[in-house]
Amino acid sequence: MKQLSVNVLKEASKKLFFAIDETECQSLLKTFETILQKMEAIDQLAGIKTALPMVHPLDVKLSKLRSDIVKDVLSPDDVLRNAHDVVANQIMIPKVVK
Amino acid sequence: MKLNGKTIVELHGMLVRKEITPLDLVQEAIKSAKANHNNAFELIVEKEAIKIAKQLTEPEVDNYLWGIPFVMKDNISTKGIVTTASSNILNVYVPVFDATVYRLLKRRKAILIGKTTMDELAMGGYGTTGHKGVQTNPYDSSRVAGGSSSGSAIAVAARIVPFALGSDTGDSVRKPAFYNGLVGYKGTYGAISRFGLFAFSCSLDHVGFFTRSVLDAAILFNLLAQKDEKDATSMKVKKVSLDKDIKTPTFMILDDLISLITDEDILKQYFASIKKLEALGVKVIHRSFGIDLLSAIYPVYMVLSCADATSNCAALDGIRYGAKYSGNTYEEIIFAARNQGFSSSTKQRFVFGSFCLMEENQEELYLKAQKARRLISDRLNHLLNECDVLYLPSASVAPKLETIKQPQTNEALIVENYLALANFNGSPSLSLPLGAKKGLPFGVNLIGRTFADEVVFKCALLVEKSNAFKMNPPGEPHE
Repeated sequence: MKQLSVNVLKEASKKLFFAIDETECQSLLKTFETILQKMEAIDQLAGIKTALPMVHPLDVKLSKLRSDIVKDVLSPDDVLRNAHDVVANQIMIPKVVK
Repeated sequence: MKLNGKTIVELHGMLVRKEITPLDLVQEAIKSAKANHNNAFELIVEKEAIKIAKQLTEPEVDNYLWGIPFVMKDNISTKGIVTTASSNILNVYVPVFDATVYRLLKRRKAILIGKTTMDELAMGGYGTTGHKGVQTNPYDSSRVAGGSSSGSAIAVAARIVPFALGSDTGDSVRKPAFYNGLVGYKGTYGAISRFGLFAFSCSLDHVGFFTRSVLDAAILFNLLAQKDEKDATSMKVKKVSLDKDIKTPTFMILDDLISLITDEDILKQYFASIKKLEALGVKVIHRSFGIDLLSAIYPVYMVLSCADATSNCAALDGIRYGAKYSGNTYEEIIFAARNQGFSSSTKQRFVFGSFCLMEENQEELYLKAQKARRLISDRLNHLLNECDVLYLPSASVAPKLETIKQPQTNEALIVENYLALANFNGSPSLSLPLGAKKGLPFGVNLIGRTFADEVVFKCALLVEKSNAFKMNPPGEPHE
């Protein structure tokens, strides 16, 4: 497992597109410590190694697909309503390729 | 007494008899909402609510929701109405569609009077992390309201509206229900559509609601529990009928969990309620959940929910919607939006989630948490096969604001987080008031088998009947 450190936290926050300061890092380290200790203790649970990961709360099959019928379509105006800059029905962002 | 301090059923009777009108209810609700000092509201939709109320002139006898005012947590989409999830990054965001639950309520002519404050993006347990600041408890403003559906709980407790919608990912409806003397319900996972609910942790998220009575909660469940094509996890479930009682209902007490609760007053009231239930013919059985599994609930919840939230909220980039932030490149815009748009506590949850999802950590944290969730859910399902409901008390009354950042012992983490059990396995779960301590409410919670929502409601009716406790409005002394 990756070693926990201020640098690792700052690196993670950078990838998440925000900054965290020193105080937040220290607070996070304390929270992490508690949770990670408890996660370690989970290794002692009987059956943990062989348990199937649970990704849905119910043991039901949800494989039935809905009919492929187009309805309740948002209008282009609605789709673009919250965008700040729109040109020719497209959301404008600053140039990506320089 | 305020009209909106009554139940939906009582108000419906008055509306049908034309003793009152929807306009009376809406005007009173708006006046109370404006006067609220607990910071419960993001927005009051005064003009629209009054316009709708004026149009409702002929009562619909078979429609309990006709003309009834209500509020919704601000993470439930409302077409044309700003919806922020109490986050700065979504300031000015106006959904272009309605959440299914809102559509169903509108169709029944219930009247939305406002959107309520919450913990930012539903991440928090106290109602302290949203962009509008701290929400306080209507029974004591030095204490928390409980979160994350804090504003919705306040609005019902403060007699502003008779019911409110919230969301529940770990306990965000059922815990504030404890702290505000209310009924709080979340149904079987998939029973109520999540379409239009802002995603936090998809396999744990539920839409839930606050009411003043179990019967009101059952009425809402019957309306809102409808299969919805727009939510791939939505399922058809049986409507609840409360006509017939259960023969010899079996309530289970988890002795190991109860042994960790230290509040003697709550325990005394809890055990007294069990005696009353036994007198009504309820069979009470005792089991242990296993302290090792109970200890795992908190870390598993944190790992799964934070990791999911990190991923679900990646779309909040300040470009497609939300408040406008400036920058010369798209990276600068996204950085500005997310850096200024999220609170410190939300950022910390995202960093934790991101850490759990790092390639080197996935197996040791995320995958292990998913496996532990399986073990916890299996144990819960096993126990639920022996009874109709688990019957468990709240661990405390609403804590003082200044105490919530203090570190908690392992025992406290267990008793304060056990409600997440019902999110892990998708069980129906209902909190209701049990008593008051120095004017502060506390409650009990019932957890039933998945798809046995009706059984949970029937058992809750028994508790309500045997205990016969109702919180007085805030400001009025309790006996």
